[in-house]
Amino acid sequence: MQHNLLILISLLIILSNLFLLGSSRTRAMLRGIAAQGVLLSILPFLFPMHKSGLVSIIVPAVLSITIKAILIPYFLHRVIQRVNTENALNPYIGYPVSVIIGLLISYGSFLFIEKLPFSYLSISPFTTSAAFASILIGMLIISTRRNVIAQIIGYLVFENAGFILGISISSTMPLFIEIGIMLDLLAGIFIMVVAVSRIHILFDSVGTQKLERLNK
Amino acid sequence: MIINICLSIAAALVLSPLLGGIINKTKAFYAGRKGSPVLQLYFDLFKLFRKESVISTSATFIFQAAPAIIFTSTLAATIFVPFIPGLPAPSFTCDFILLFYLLGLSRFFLIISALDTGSSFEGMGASREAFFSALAEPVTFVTILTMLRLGGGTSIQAAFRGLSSESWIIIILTAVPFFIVMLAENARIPFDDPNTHLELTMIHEVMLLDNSGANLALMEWAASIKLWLFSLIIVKILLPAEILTPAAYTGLTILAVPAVAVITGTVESVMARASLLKVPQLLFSAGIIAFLGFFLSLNQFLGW
Repeated sequence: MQHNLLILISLLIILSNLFLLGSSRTRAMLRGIAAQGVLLSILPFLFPMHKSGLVSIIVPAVLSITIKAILIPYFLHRVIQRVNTENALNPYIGYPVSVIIGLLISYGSFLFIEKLPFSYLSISPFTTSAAFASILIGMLIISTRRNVIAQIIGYLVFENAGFILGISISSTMPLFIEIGIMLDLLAGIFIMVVAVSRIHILFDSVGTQKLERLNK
Repeated sequence: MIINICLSIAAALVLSPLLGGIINKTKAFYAGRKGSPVLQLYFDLFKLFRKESVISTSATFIFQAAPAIIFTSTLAATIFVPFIPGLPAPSFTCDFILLFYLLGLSRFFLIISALDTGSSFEGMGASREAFFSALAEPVTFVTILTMLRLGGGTSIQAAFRGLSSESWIIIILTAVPFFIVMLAENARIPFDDPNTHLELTMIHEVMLLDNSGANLALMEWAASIKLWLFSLIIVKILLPAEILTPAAYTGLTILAVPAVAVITGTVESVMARASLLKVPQLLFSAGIIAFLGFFLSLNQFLGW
């Protein structure tokens, strides 16, 4: 049962990654990343290795759902409203092609995890490969999108991958480290949101191509 | 084998018009209406068969031959998806290709009979039908390929045998894209609205506009047999045969095929028809899900 649920959730995470790759609207991407946050908050309940009791299961879950599924999407939603960035900023690689690349990446990470010597250590090879795929897909989003907000979402996918990888490989993730990472993430998003507003005020756009030249 | 073929054909002929009635009843239920009777399509077919066919003077023999070809080739496709397990069924190497290309043959004649009338309006519908079915076909074959990978054979029987409750994740990843393909192939709502007539966006109904009488009845009947066939395949994907006795399996199938119709009716009630530009995207995402299932079936993680 637990095993099946783990497979289902890692599959949904992969599908949400592909959805993020395929959606052109930043609002749709926000919904996707919030859904991923909810999925992540279920994960701690499914790994039976937490020996230090219920607190170390519930705290990461609650933190993940409040920060990743509610707070960060809310901040990003606010900044999208302010900078009004729905106008299309074409990515360097088109949406269908990047979904296909994402699919191949997911398949490749399944193959890769099979070959890794430590794969049998992790409880579920499925979650580990979903995490690997998320790392690469996060990088793909960061590197192919021109829109700064889409790049922030790519960074969040990357961070989520770290969470999944940590929880599925290490049997004991100290609680304080997890809380620290979450707070760092929140602070990072704060800074990014402020930076995006500043960029918008300065350049009147959130595309990155204008950042390439220095501004007086 | 003869018994099984006869049973498949008889079931398809007799039960298939029921599905359209169930879908309409479900939609009526969601809309708070009473709706037309479940047997409405039987009455319509009966009425149409008694009427004479009017054939346009500009149409050639293709237009007259098409309804019979469409009907027979759709009916012939049903024999590969047997109704009752246990009985020997027609099965040979790569018979799934014949199954889907019999449907392709019927689609081809539907398209050229629409073009044969010389109406530009029907030509538009034919063009859309050709485009969308070309997008739906790869998805179908990838889902079949996934099932064959698990079944280890090359016939559609082997494909259904390969699915077991252990590979439930593959079952989901094949059933969902196949359901989307079913909606596209049978001109159901996110792709085409079966209720609209003389609207510029419709696909299937527009190609039947010039048919009347028995010809129209054959076309409608063929469409409902196609819906029956796709629903049956979905039920076969979802119901693992190995844990049930043949009698229980047959009974469950008879119950589950109308359930697919109810689900279709629910989808039609909660969704609006997607704009024509969105249709390729929908089929593309179905293809992505199907490919994910295929890649998972290549993997050794779950020990299949």
